[in-house]
Amino acid sequence: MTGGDRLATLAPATSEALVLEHVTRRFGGVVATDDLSLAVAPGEAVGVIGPNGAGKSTLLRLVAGVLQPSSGTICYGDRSLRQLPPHDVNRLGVGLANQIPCPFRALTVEENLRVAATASRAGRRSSQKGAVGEVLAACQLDALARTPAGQLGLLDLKRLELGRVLASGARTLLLDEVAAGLVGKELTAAIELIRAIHASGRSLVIVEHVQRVIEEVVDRVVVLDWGRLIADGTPGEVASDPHVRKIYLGSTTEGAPRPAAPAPTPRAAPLLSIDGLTAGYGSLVALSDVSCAIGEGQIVSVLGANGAGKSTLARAISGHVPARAGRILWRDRPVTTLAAHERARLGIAHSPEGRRIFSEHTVRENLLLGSPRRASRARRADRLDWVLEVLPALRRLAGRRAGMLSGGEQQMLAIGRALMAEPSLLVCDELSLGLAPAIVDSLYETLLEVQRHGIALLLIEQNTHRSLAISGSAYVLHRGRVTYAGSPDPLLDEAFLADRYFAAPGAGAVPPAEPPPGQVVATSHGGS
Amino acid sequence: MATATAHVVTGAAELDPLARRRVPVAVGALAVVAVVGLGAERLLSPALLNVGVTLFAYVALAEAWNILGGLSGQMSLGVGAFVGTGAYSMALAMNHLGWSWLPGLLVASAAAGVLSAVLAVPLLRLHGDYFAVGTLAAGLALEAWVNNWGFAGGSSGISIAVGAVPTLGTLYSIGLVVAFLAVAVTVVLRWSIFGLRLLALRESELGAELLGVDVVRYRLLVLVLSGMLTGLAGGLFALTQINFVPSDMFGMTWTIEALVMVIIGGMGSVLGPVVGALAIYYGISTELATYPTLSLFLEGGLLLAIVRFFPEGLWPFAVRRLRALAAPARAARRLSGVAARR
Repeated sequence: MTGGDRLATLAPATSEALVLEHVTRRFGGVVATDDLSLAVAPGEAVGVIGPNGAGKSTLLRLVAGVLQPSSGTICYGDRSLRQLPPHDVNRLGVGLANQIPCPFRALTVEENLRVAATASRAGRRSSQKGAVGEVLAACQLDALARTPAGQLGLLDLKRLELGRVLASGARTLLLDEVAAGLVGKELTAAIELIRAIHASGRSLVIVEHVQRVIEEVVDRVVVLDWGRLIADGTPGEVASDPHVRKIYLGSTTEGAPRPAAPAPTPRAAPLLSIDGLTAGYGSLVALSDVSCAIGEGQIVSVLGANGAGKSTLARAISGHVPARAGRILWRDRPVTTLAAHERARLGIAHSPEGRRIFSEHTVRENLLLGSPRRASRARRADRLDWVLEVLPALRRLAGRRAGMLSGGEQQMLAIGRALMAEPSLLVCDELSLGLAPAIVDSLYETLLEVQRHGIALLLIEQNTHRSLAISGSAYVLHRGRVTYAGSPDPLLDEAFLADRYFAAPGAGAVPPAEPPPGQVVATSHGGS
Repeated sequence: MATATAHVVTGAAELDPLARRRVPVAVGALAVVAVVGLGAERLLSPALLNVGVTLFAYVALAEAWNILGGLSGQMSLGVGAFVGTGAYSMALAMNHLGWSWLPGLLVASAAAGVLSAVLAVPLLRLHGDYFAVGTLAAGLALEAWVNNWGFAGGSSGISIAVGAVPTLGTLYSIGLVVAFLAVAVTVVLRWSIFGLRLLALRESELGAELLGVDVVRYRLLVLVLSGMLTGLAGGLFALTQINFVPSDMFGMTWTIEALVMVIIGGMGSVLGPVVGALAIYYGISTELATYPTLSLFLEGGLLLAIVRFFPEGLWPFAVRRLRALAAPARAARRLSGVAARR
């Protein structure tokens, strides 16, 4: 709440009504928004939810002028936005903040805001003079004003993304999943800022999968599915709508029937064991003295706040980041110095954050690209069949261009492509980032199916409850050190999890609250 | 083009407040250097004057590429198109209309500016690598066309009437003014809101557009401005070479020279291209003129070394090191801060 007073300094603004009537947008044969009508009153905050591919981002991009509707009208106040390019839409007072912040990385924070403040109000210099300073203070970025945007952490990047839209003079803000990837205190800080923006009289249209944002900010929620508006009401009304629960919310609201924790097969030697691993980039040390282990066919969660070193651990395992110290053993064989492609041949597959699918290629081509180079044609075809059996959802999409898939389908494809390499261990980085809860459900079912085929999984997740529910053991990283290793159960307690997430730097080696189960060969030599 | 010039002037008027004082100081310092340079004319030998003219033309060429490629991120591989247009329009105006060098240079700049505006129609639809390839194609097409243009001498080239060419001393002064103009334009651009918007669209065109920057307009303005400066440099090269064929003026060499100078000096910085032009033209091509193979080898080696070890370029690297030396205490504090945070 420390920011409360300073957030209040945001000058009030009056927004105008944003009215969409019968807006349809087609991409080729695909209808992204279908006869969509929606009115946002001045000062209102509306949440837009729905499964991936429902047309939510398309909706925001249509309003912002990035896309033009195939038919229908969009008006802001008494001005039609039809055929206006993005910069003109922005000058009328409608601003879009992106899911993935795209700051001008070489410019400082202040320069970023200055571009926004001066671009849209060229004629009114007096009004912009204070704007940059005010936004800096409101977004709690004043200490970072002269820092290049490329050096910011995730929360500050999100603040800058919001700040730029504010500085551009937007009175209606379109927020496209601005909270994605934030957890714990950082999420709270972002929500506080969004609430302050709303309290200043600006209206908001928020596309968001992070339910806390919807619950804590908006007064009204609309639900999209296949480009159509299927529900409209208060958050409570919408959450109790059975249809919405079925297509979007999935099991989360029903107290998540936890899949029975699979019985891992205990073995004498783990599949992968890491001992005292240190790794980093340049002068930055991202992992420090990390030890962990994964048994054959086991599911292991790696949790931690942004910048804790989770992705670096994944890359160090797959060989994309060299180890500076420590050992990595694969079936008792040292692989510490092996190149990434050699480890892939041994059976380590990595499904990176952000999916990285080849969007110009078809689903089938993407999958075939994942198979080992030396595999024979027949073996490749067999493997493809096997993957399509494990991931049946991909079968009917096989001929489709991968860029046309929804986020959930793309993630499914990324898993499938990794499986083509015939791995024994699949490392999944941020599987559920930006995906609708119901989609995440089906992805997790897929993961259990993968595990049933004897493939071990290392899950790096923000979505802690989902991954802990299916894991045999869990690790928490904080600033590159292991702060918890052991059974996933104690971490289901929010307070304990937060404690491990933001453990004091000196407390790096706090022993696990519960002794790790027998099959987990895990210790942390960090700290002291 | 009138709008282009007018807008640059307003751009100067709405300078970035942070730099409001810096720009007049920098331009003033440049003017002092230019005046001293003009005064030095009488002291220099003809050989040095000759070197000076070409050096100044290269400074203008490198800065022109720098404001387009370094500031706005539009990498042009068609520098020859603008150098050639400047050189040829100037030679044609002097030979057929009997104009003197001053209106000739203005025509050179204007013609290259018009060419930029015309090429902008297709080029501004292209982004990134495609833009670069587009400029390359435009340059090649123009060269092929001039090779077959009988009125301008076709592939046997064109000569400027010797009587109309100014003396070496005058040429030196013209070159100095042109180089001053190019650097001053870069200073004003780099430290103005106009330049800030260019830097923004270099990073993300969509991001800039969503914040209200009219991206197409800014890309057009900087393309025309860069074209005009390149045309001016082309006119100067024409005055120093007197006889030339299309491949001299429309060829790929100009693109390569400009790119190498800017990359070695420091892309996007104000003085980087000047340092690059000095290093490449004076340091390597002129001083080692008797060992052409060695100079080529050194040029390539230097480029590799810069890209590998100082990718920011010589000038920004030197500035950073000097600042670190000047403020060891501050640097030390910053370092310990980083260490503590870790």
